[in-house]
Amino acid sequence: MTNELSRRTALRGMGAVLVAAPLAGWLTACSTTEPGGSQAGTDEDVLARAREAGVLRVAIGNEPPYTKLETDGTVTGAEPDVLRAVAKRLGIDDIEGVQAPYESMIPGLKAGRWDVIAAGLFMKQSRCAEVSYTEPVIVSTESFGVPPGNPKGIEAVQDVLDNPELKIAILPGGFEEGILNTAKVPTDQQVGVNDGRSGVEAVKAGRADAFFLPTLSLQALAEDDSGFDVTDVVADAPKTGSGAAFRTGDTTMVEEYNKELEAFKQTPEFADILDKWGFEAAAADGVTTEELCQNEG
Amino acid sequence: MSVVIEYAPLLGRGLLTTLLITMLGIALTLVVAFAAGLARLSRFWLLRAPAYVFIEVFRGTSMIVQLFWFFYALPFLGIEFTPIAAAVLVLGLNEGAYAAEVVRGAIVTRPTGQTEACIALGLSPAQRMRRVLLPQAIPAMLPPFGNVFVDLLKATSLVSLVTIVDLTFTAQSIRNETGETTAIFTVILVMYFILAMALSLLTRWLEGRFAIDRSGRPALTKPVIGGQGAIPA
Amino acid sequence: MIWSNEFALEILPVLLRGLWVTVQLTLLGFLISLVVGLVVAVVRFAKIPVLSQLCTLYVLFMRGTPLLVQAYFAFYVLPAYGVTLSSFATGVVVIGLNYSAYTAEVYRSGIEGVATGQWEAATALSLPPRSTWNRVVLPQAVRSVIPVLGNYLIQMFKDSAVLSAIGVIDLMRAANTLGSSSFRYLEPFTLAGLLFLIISYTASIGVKRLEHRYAPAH
Repeated sequence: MTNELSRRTALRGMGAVLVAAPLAGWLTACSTTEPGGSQAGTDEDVLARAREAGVLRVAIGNEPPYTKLETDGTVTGAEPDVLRAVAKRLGIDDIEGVQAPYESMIPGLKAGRWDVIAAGLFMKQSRCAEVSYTEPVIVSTESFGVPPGNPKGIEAVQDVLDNPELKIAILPGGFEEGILNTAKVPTDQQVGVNDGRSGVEAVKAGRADAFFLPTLSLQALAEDDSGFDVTDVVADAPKTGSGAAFRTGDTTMVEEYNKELEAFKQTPEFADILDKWGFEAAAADGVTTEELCQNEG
Repeated sequence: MSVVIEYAPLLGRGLLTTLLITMLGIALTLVVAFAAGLARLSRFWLLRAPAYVFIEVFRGTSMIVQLFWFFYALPFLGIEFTPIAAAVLVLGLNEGAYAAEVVRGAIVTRPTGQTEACIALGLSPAQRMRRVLLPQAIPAMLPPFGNVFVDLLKATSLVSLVTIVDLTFTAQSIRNETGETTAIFTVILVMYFILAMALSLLTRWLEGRFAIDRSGRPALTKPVIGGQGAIPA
Repeated sequence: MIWSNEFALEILPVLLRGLWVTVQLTLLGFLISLVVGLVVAVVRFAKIPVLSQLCTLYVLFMRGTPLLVQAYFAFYVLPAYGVTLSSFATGVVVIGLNYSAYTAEVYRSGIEGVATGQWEAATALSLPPRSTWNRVVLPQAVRSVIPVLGNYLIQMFKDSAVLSAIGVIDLMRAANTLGSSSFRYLEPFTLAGLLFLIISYTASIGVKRLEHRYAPAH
């Protein structure tokens, strides 16, 4: 009987601890965490909130040289580095990166999962209608990643249209998917891959004949993988560029950001950042968001 | 393999997140399981019906769909959780719905003599449940609970798809960084396996500790053929 | 930015196409799990040295590791060793093998449930082992576990959504693609959830019927 009692007591005690301890931990963790940001779709002042919190939450794609997530969790890459510098000028101490798939970036921004996208998310009509882009930071070109020697001779989007046998790897939601769709390349010629590395592996495994990505991203991937080549700049792909993207309601933020970005572009640090990642600072000169937003797709 | 050693601290952080989410998920699963499981047995229609709908909805849809829904769609209805909170909530509600059926099943399979004896002794329904039925039913719940917990552990890998930096997400980052696909995936498969084994051994130990009759295990504690929704619908 | 019926109707056909892929994926995977699971169960029950232990390890490992990571492994690692399958084929094989570990356990309980008298009778009639299994044990064992297998089929249907992560264009992937091209996730994911619910709830009622039909006589 004593055994019976002790068993029951022990059971009850253990149950209580099992349930209470982690839940209590969770609740305290929650109350100290920054509550999940602004309500979706409401016009809350993201600038004031980020200044107060000391951090701006940014969605990135971990696609060097545009964006890179260091193994210690810090965010870097051409766009985030510029974002961090401009944020500092705006009185925001730091940026905090969230690595997200391209396809989720805008929905996540609208859902308040992050405050801004700085991921080399290139401007085009459909995106410009959904988010507020700042002025462009980088302007870029596209290439194909192909098996050594480019056996299928893929150099232009037209080549893909001409040969329905070809399969092209793209990042779902990425700019290149838009280019192919606008050119009316059938979806069964497109192979969705999760990230840069998967795209390279898809080409090497023969799941795709080429991997369509910005020239610089492909070159970064080719650096530690000699198993594929990067073609010249694809001539029939539109000129593309990107800047930080905020929610359409964050008008104050975008205005203030553009002001500070313009001033920052005049400093040598801007050119240093772009140089460091292999971009040309001058490429964005005279290119406007309005112009890049005309891109179809 | 050197890549694994080089990135060990990073994997460790991912592992911690996985463990944290698993523990919180298990805690919430238990709360949800007992709340919904007991509500299903209530005399009151107003408790029974919502519990039934909750269980069927969460068991009837994919966890990954629920995860995306809580993460990307719910904020538009004005409800927003931090990523970890959303993840724990989905894991706890989903596995809790399965575990609620475990709770219910373990209670309804008590011999009717127990209930009759309670009535004869003049115990109230609440006393009957708390003092007699539950203490007997809990040992019977442990084996299927063990399966639910292992399922939950495995399901935590899905949170990597909604930007949470767990073990699986970390593995993907390291792979993206280094191209060492084989080494990194092999290592995390083994890590998950060890965790799952540890979790089953823990519940196995609890079973032994709380078996009603420790010499001859009665049929009711016989392990359910389980996993992935311990007691199939 | 609240629910739009118009948008929901517009995307429904695309989601239904995705659902069809999900159904195919599930049924093909289920077929694999039924066959492989049976082999594993029989080998384990027959206590063949080494082979039986390997099968036990297989079951433990498949049940102890996440489907998502198994899928990643099969999709990204195997091509390095010359095995390159499309994402759909990889998905079918991965989910089939994953569930074979569960069906193996189901069969085992069925085999163990066959009365010892049946084995004795088979021995008394000097039936060769092959006939004992094929004509006596398995027909009884499988019959008794049909409802449980049905439940695993439903579970598999829901779990198959995980395979969208390796690029299978299933219901989940369709919802995701629709969400990202329209920048609205509310309708695609709500509808995807409803489609999963309708099918698995209906199917679970069907399985309950099966349970009555195949219930033991007592």
